[in-house]
Amino acid sequence: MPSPQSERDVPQDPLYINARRELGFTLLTWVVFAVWVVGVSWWHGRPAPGVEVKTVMGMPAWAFWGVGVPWVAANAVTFWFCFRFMKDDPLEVVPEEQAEGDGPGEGTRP
Amino acid sequence: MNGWSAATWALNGFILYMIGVLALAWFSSRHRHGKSFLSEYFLGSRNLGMWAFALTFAATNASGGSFMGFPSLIYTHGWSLALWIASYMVVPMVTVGLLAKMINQVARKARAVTVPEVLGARFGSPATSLIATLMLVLFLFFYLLAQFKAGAIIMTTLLGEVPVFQQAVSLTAELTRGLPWIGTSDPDYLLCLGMFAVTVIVYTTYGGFRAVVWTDVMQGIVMVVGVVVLLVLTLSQVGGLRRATEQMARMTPPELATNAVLTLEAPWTNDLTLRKGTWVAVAGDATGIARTVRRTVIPAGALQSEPIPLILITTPEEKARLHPDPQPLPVLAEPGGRRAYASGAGQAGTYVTLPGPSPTADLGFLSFGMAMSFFVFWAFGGAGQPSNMVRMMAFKDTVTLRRSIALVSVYYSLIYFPLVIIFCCARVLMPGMEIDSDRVMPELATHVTTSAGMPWLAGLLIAAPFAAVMSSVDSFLLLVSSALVRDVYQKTINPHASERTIRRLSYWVTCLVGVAAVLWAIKPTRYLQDLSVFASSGLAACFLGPMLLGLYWKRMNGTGAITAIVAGGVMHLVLYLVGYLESGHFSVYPLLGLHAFIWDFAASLGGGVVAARLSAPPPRELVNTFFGSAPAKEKGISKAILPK
Repeated sequence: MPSPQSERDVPQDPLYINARRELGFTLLTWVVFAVWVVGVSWWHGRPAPGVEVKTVMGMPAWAFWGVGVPWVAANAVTFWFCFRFMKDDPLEVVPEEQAEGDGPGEGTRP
Repeated sequence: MNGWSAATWALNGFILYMIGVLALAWFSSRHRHGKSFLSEYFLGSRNLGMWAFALTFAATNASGGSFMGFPSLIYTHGWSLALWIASYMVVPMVTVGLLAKMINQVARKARAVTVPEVLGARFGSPATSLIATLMLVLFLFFYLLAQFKAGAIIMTTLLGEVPVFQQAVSLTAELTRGLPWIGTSDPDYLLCLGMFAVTVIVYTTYGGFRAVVWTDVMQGIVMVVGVVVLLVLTLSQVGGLRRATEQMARMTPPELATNAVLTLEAPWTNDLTLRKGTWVAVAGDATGIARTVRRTVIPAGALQSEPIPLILITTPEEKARLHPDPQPLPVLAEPGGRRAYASGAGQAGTYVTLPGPSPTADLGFLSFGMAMSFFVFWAFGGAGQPSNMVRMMAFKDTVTLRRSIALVSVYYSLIYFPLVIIFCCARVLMPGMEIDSDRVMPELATHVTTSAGMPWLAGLLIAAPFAAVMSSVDSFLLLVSSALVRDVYQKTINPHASERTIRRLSYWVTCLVGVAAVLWAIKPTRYLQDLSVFASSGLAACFLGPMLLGLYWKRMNGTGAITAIVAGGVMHLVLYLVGYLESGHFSVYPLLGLHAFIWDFAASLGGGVVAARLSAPPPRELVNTFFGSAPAKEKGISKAILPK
């Protein structure tokens, strides 16, 4: 049986609110790049009779504009997402698991 | 320098690499003292920093397929693979960003160390946890088999020319001759499988999750350095990317002669043995050139070989370049019947355009539906892998998470697009590799390092695919053992087991699961690679839907989760069953030209939502615990921390 206290709603975890907002941005980004990459590549990548394949920076033009350029753009969006859009949120501490130092990487400590 | 030197350097590099792996496992085991055993052994105490989290995530995703199957596909189908793999540009953001923050928080609140445990706790449903465990163990075991086989094959390539290894192979053949089950296997494969398995099982069993993560960091670095070095060497030797692409644009796909006969001008007094991959001139074609697909012997006194398969080069420019003059061997190939590619045959430009040539598919390699499907699959299918989910439960704070996503995006950019460039160039540098395109990576590494006068680099380059396989095997091994120990034994059979019992059981189960997979991998099934694809997409089909709904939809409940797991799994099995009935072999049915994962995921999401709506909502206490900010503190089970 749930306790009386738990029968009422409690304020939403800010982490959940931020995670939902970031989920929306992530899905939107995926849709934009899916349309760009598959659309441009398919539109320009199929061979036209008698037309020589053009290259840009050594790649077929369709691969440059349809994969290479969006790849660079996706990295830029990812960096913006990570360092401007995404919020830092508190994570629960499990005390018995925090006995010693961290792994080989860097990071912040509370 | 000759090939022997390259092999020796490769062996030296490999030994150093293995010493590094075992040393890291030893260091990681020292890290375990004073912590909860289960959490540390299976989750690294949820304390991974940026480099550890980013590189273990990236390395685990880059399995043997990234360095064996993917290069083979690029070589066979050309630039169309750039579109096939393009989704990796958003994989770090989508795969990690979709679930990581929420799954980490829910796992902490639930004190969960496995993926089934997260599902069971979130829905307050032990049945959900048990069904998830069964699916995870079933699919991951197939995955494990394929990776063990890939590891053994790469090792065979790496060590094949080393004299010490050849002596060890002879000894293995003598020792295993006549033994049941293993006696009929190739001794070189058997020896490599044994060495690979012992190393991985020992360091995974001994070091647990932290050893897996630390070795993944090293393996991740080996992979990226290997790819960058290979890119530089390949581009310099091919004369630049523009030149390579222009040559590819003039290429036409080869033809396969299935019943060719090699003919001598006059009989020899000894057997004439031609190694696999020997170039021979073609009878009746002044510049005709072909490559043997397997080792061939023309017996002493005979004029002809048995019928053998050959790959016939069709590009005029390559024929002129490769045709030997004078002939090194007095042998002519009579191709007999020829089989052209189903798509792209005789068409110059097919390797640099879409949909790419295909030996079997009439519509070419990459249809529009499949291009779109793979853009979905790499990103969302990756998010649905339990091996990724468990890593998302292990980072220590959200600062680490943000920095790691950025780091992985740079890492993937340095791996996947350069691989497309490298193996497009390989088409120009090494024609005729269709005889065994799975070996194109180690062959190219040996080719470019030897040509550059740096055979010592071959060891590092060939270690890259080996590292990729190893970093996947160790993760899968630990996932299976954690599911059996935590979710089956501790949660279902003996909830009051002491830590000492759990520790000993964890070691034994990790070891035994590895041994069982190796015993099966001794005689790999014919469709092992297909089973690997079946397993990875099956895992995503079963786990992504319930996890996504459970983390973001408060109304989701245990009934919905079980339905989502079962619906995704059943749709997956049905599409494979239809594929088998239609084609007569183990393959998936591409309904409406789309990848099976699209239908599996739709069934899982749809089934989960409908079942949750039709059943009682979850207890409010449960919802408040996982979506509210207060209950955890009120219960006194944990406290919140804020990163600086």
